[in-house]
Amino acid sequence: MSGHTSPAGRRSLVAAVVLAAALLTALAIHSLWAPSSGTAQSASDYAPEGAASLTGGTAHDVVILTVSAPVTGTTAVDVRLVPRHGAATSGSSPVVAVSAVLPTAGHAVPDFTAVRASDNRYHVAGLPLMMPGRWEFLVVVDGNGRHDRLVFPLTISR
Amino acid sequence: MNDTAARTTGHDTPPLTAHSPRRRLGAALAVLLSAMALLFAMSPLAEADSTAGGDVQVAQTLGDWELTVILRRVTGVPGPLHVDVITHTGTSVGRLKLTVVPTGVSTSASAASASGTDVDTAVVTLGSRPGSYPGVLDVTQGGPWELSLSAGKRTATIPFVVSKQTASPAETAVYVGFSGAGVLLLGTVLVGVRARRGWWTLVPAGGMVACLAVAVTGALLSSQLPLPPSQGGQVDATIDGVGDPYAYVGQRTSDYSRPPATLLLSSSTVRAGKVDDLRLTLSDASTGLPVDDVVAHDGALLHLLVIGPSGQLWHLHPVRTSAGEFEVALSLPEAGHYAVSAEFERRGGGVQQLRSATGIDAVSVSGAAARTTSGDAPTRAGTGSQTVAGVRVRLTASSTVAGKAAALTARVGDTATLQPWLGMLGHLIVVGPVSPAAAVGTATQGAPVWAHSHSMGAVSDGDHDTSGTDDTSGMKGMAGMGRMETYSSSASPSSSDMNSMSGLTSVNGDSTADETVAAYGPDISFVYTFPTIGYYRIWIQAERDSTILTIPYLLHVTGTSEKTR
Ligand SMILES: [Cu+2]
Repeated sequence: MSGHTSPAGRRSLVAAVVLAAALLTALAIHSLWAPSSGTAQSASDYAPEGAASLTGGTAHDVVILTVSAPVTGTTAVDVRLVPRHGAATSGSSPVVAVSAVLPTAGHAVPDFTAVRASDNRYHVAGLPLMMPGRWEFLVVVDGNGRHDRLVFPLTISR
Repeated sequence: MNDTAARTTGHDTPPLTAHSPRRRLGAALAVLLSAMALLFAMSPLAEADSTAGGDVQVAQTLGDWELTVILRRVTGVPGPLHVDVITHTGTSVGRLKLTVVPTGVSTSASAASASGTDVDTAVVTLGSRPGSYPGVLDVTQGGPWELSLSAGKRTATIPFVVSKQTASPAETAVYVGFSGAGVLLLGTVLVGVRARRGWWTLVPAGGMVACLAVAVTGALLSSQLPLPPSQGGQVDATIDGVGDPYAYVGQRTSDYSRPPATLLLSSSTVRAGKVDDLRLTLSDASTGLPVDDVVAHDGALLHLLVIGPSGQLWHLHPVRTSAGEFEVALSLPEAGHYAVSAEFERRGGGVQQLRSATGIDAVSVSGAAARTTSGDAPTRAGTGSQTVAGVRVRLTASSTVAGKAAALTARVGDTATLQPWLGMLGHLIVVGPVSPAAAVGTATQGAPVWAHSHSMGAVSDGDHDTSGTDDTSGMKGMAGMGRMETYSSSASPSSSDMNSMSGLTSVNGDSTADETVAAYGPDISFVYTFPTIGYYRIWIQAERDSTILTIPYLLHVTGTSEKTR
């Protein structure tokens, strides 16, 4: 019966299996409880490392907001407008203003008129984020017969 | 075969006879089957307590229509959104165009590609008969959406969230753990039967133990782990957040509340006898920005109360036209001052009641059919009977002493045919103290107390026999009633009276019956503690025969134990 393994060896094998089981349990629980964080997945082709990029839309445009440094401090913000099919693209380019609010704290930053960097791309150099929290980035697109206001919720975690 | 099977049980076991492996296989299979049964018994539980939003009920005063729009819960995406538009007596025939627009943002460009565009439209034709008029629209994804209702030149937008059934990490652990344990149990049996060396069974058996540990840990923790913040209710909803609320938890906080708001009226002067659009702007009291996070509360985004010079009460539900902007068509019949207040709730919690600092002055204009109404404002204080819109109403009060809970019970009609309006069987508006002789609009503009109380049914006050229900049926009415606790803390001539409550119940916090159910009353009770002595104007509102009845009273609240009848 006990010809293949000594009782001591078997005991250590049991210990190893139990240990492996415990490790597996710990790993499984850890992986289930710490899901991949949802920030900084770039939807934009030119987003810098660590940037947060969010896509939203209006009847006229797909609006892509890229926050270069989604942490407390000053960050550059880029807005890209991709006109929808059928939407009029003629006429002068619209005015794009960017602001941010931390609603729970009642903090707001001033409106920054974005500088048109290239066709359909608008840039704000320094938007101050005072503290971590669930911010709302407000993008207002004005002109060509439209006044669109978009809210991009974004958590600034540190 | 005999030798191999014997080893599976380890060295303590005596050798077994030839037919025992089959028996043991049978036993193992029985264990496996019971484990699978346990798994299937556990799995519905694993999904039941995820954030399953109920129906959303939003009252809308659109033009001269008072509509209740019910957005039924979306059970899967892509899938249908059932919208029921409930009309009241006197609703004119017309067409209502419904449109759904996703409004969410996402880190994924493809997930947000449809945001801001019309995804589906439907037309609901409202008939002259009061009732429920259904419409069905297709929603394509989870996340924040907007439903717009258009009639003529007026458009109302209702923000709502299409949530997904998501399992918490703990529930996933339970599910994965039990599934894995089931598979590994089968593996253990197979290895035990087949393997040459008995200790090989320890490998799948160990894995099974690990899986069971994961599952049990998950099951034990699932009830204790905090839920992620409600998307749209506590935090701004995004497509990603709705798709996986646990991944977007962010900082844990118990306080999601936002600053108070200020209420601005577009105009403080309107023309008496003419229909004028009143626009209301809600702005954040900290930043001054538009308040665009109003969530449905008590069956509406915004409840507007207007009190007229002769004691008329309007309880309207202005429609949202854009961020922080609401609009209602008002036709004020007579010249004079009208007091205005609004109730709403911002995302993150906290109901706010704001009173317009100005109110509205209606001025006479030539050609307008301005008239002076009368009879809406009782001049004599007290409870008693009156007839409103052909319905006999009798009000009784246990006592009306300042600082003591007053139980007010109104018998509206004689039959149990009341319909819940805004999710409640009765509404009580209390304004005072006021001078009973003064013009009501002017007096209520400056009144210190504006209160709004609700009734979910009848509660015995000891003086007044509310119903013939016995104790058991009364208790049945109480089952699952979180809201009723307000009664138990304030109305208490005796605790046995609590058993005679009956009324609208909400089991497990799920949606209550809507207005199409005319089976409640005729008694509706309110418990309100008048803070100070003086004369109070009160209005009781209840729905019967698809008509919203507004019943005015004038009550005298005394400072002693003496009763005012
Ligand atoms: Cu209301």
